[in-house]
Amino acid sequence: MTESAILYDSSKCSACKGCQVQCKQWNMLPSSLTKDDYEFTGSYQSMSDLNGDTRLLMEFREEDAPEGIEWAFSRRACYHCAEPACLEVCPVGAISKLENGTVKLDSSKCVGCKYCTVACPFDVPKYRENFSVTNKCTMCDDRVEQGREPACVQTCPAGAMTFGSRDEMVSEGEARVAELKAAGFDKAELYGVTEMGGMHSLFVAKYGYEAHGLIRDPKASDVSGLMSLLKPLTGLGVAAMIGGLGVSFLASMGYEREGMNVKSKPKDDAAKEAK
Amino acid sequence: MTVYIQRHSLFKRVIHGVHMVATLILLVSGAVVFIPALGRAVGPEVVQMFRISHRVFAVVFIVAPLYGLIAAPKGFVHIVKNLFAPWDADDKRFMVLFAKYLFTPKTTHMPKQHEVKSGQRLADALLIFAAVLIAVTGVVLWAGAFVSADVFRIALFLHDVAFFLIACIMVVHVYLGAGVWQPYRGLARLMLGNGRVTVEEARYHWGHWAEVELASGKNVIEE
Repeated sequence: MTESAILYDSSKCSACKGCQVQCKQWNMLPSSLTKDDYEFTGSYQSMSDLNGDTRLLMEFREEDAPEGIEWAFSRRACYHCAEPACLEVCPVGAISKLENGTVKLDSSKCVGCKYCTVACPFDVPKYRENFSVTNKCTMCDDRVEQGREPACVQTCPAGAMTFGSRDEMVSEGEARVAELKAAGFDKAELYGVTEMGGMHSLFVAKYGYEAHGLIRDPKASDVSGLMSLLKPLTGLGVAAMIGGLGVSFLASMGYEREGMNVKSKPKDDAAKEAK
Repeated sequence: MTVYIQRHSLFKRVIHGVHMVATLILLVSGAVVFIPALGRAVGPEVVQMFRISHRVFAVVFIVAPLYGLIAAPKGFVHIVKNLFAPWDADDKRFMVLFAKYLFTPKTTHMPKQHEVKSGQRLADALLIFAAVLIAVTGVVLWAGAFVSADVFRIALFLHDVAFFLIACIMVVHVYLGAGVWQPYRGLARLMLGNGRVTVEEARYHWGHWAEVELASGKNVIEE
């Protein structure tokens, strides 16, 4: 099966948040109806970060420019890495990689241990408290299976998101970056071509990675790396202990307390007792 | 007639027993999450069951020693005093000889020891440190929805470090404490039985302590 990808073009995005809403609608994820329930982010951004009920968030960043404020919009959701750190650490196999590259989290298997959140360099999987499971974008695998586009892509009125074969999306993204550079946006870059083994959610960063809050050269968290070292180390440690003590046990076979007392007492102790 | 010394009280043995059961269940239920292959093999329903039991027994793991501390503060002070007791020449000699003793007990003569052997004092200190670390980080992990990803990440790492320490120490603890090793055979009854030790055993394992107990006669039982 051909690998698929979403291509998000920040230079075309109007940050209408239609994708954010459509994601919630299709996946039946609620929004808070309480006034001022979300902390004020200081911008038009809905909430400060993804949460258990929000798989996709439009982020607003402001860049000072000679003409005034420039907006650097970002689509924050799972990047569907080719080498997903979350998949490696999931203790129940709730996270799997589909043939088209989608990294799917099956909430029916998830036990809510949050190991995936710990491993993800982007802090994308979020704990859904009411359901005691972790939640993240599944790239609408149910829709894609039926030959449809992910809900966020279908709803985008600005045409800032496209969905198709990954190779095509990479080509389109690179062409768009070239166009942007030609138009004077020198820092324009395409994110996700090689990061984390190659992502299945690509990002045309009009103002460069940093301006859009993208992590340059992301890696699975250091703690996650240390933890993956600890697991075999624990096994080795316990095995070494059992092995060493096994040798001790074998070496001590035939041991008798009384016999030892007589044979192994130092000479001076024995002499004192004799007196 | 056999002369015994009562080494551990019933209260201490019950607290130890409850804590031992909790620890063993926590080690097994934790291993299911700690080793992804194991969790995947048994499936999410079983993992979830283990996770719930992990939390239930985590409460027991934390509450049992705290209850012991509150119900018998003098006993707790006694344990702490033993833990930090200054090392004399016999204590140091014991540690120097211990590795040799472990593999050649038939020909290695160990020096007399006080109530808690110097090696056990070290192991106890490490075990208490690991137990406190795993308990504190476990509480943080339980409250995972209310802490930041970074705090959760660090707590999880430290929880795993403590798991590593406890898993390794437990192997040695069971080998010696449960009397699997021939020279320590019979000592399991100290914590898992009536808490008594014969005078011969006491003199062999804790020579200095045995003499003190025999002189005071307070805990000496003749049967």
